[in-house]
Amino acid sequence: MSTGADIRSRGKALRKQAKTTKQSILVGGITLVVFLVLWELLPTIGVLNRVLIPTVTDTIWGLGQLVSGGYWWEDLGSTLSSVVIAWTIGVTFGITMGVTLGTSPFIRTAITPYAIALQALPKIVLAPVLIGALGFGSQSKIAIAVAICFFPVWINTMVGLALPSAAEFTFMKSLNANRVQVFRKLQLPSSVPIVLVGMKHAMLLSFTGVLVAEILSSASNGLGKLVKEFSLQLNMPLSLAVITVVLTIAVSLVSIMDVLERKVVFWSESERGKKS
Amino acid sequence: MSKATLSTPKPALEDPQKKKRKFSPYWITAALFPMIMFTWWGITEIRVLHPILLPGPGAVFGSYSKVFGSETFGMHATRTLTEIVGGFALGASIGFILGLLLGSSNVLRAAYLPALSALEAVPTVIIAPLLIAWLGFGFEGKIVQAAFACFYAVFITTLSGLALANANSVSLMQSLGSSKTQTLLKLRIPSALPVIFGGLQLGATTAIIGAIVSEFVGADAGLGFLLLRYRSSYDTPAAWVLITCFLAIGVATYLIISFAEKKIVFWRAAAITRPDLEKK
Repeated sequence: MSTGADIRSRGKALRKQAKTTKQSILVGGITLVVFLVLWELLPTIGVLNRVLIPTVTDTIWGLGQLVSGGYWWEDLGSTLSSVVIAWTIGVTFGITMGVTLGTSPFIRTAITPYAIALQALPKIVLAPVLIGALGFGSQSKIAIAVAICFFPVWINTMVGLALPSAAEFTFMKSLNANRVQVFRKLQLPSSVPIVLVGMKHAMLLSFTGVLVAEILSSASNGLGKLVKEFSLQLNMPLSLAVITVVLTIAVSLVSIMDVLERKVVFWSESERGKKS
Repeated sequence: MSKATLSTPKPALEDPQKKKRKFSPYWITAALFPMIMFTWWGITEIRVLHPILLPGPGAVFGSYSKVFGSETFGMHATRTLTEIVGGFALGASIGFILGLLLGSSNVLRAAYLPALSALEAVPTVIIAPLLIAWLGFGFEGKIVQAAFACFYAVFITTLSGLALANANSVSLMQSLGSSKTQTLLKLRIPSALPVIFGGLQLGATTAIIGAIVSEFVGADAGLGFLLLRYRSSYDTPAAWVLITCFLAIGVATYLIISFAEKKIVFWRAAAITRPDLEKK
């Protein structure tokens, strides 16, 4: 039922929203301009040390130099391939662990203390030991990234499989469903959204692991090594340029995962709409 | 958060007969520990890997007294704990304040949220070499790194928590003539606290990781620095002792924040033990 007052109030709300959008674009734009001007101006007039903090134009120039210089493609490829390989292994391993250990409530309860202990361990401390054991090559990079990134996938798979309510399990049972059917028709669909969240988190962790390995080990190549070397040489424009590249890659990887999530979990779209 | 869900047993899958089972799953938990130790011992005993790469349990346990007994251990531990606590305090405060600012103004939220949420995807370790060039090998750079690593989790949970306040309660506050600040302090922040504590828990983990990584990249003291030194002098058992130290720091942080949550968000603990108190 839409009365006149109803329509009027809705129009008022829409106008208010449009005003908010306009204001926010203004505020965002002004902030960006002020930030860029300060970034350009402060090092130029000597308030900040230009060697340590290069200006915007210096950084853009560094980005151009980086992209035109051929040497960095190998580093980019090495980092990207390590991230993707480690993520694939980590996700496969995590889902396998989650399914084998998560389908039975008994085993799940039994291993929970170990899972909590593993979760509390900042797994990045294993990096030096793994580099020591596996050398400076891409194996140690991938091993470190896998060690870090499989965990959220594992935990989210276990949580996801336990997500359906007790009534839903009873219902499946009353329809005489066997274990495989319960898994395929009830547990699997309910776990997919949360497993995808774990996979997205794993992407970031895999990237983190590869970068840490590259920064730590002296002989390997990759974007992490580039940042470290440029920073040590105090070649800050190039260092910031590589960081910009890393930011861009990270944001694109996560955006890809977001799109994938929306495509795969089409059935929770309505839920999503309700929440937001 | 996931832990609570994990440990919840699900009675529906179990047969009525199984419910009478005397066999608790925690027996398996207890039995797993010696099994893991034995496997570890066995692997090192048949020398799958050289002892320098993977020391046996005996060697690691034997190194505890050496590592803890060394004169400088206290200094290194204090340094790392300062970095973690300082970085966490700084990052959590920034995250909380940003969350409050963006949570109480639609304009600011629409203006800054897109840029800030891109930070979710960023592997913050990448700025570690930069921070060393800017701030040197001391603890300042580590604090900044830890703060940078942990602020996002606190920020985003504060922001989403503030939106959780019950709409009816907000109307009630307004009808009683309360100001925006009063609504924020008495209603919106308290109802956001459980979510914020989830963010603090996550942020503490990332702050620890940030501090360790930046010590690895370059430091003049700290447990991460010590770990690298033991590793490069091929004293792997001592390096493993330090890894268990980091495990202890992780567990301790988790317990401290859980304790604080129980004390500060006491009404939620009451709601969990007395579900009848929680109104839908």
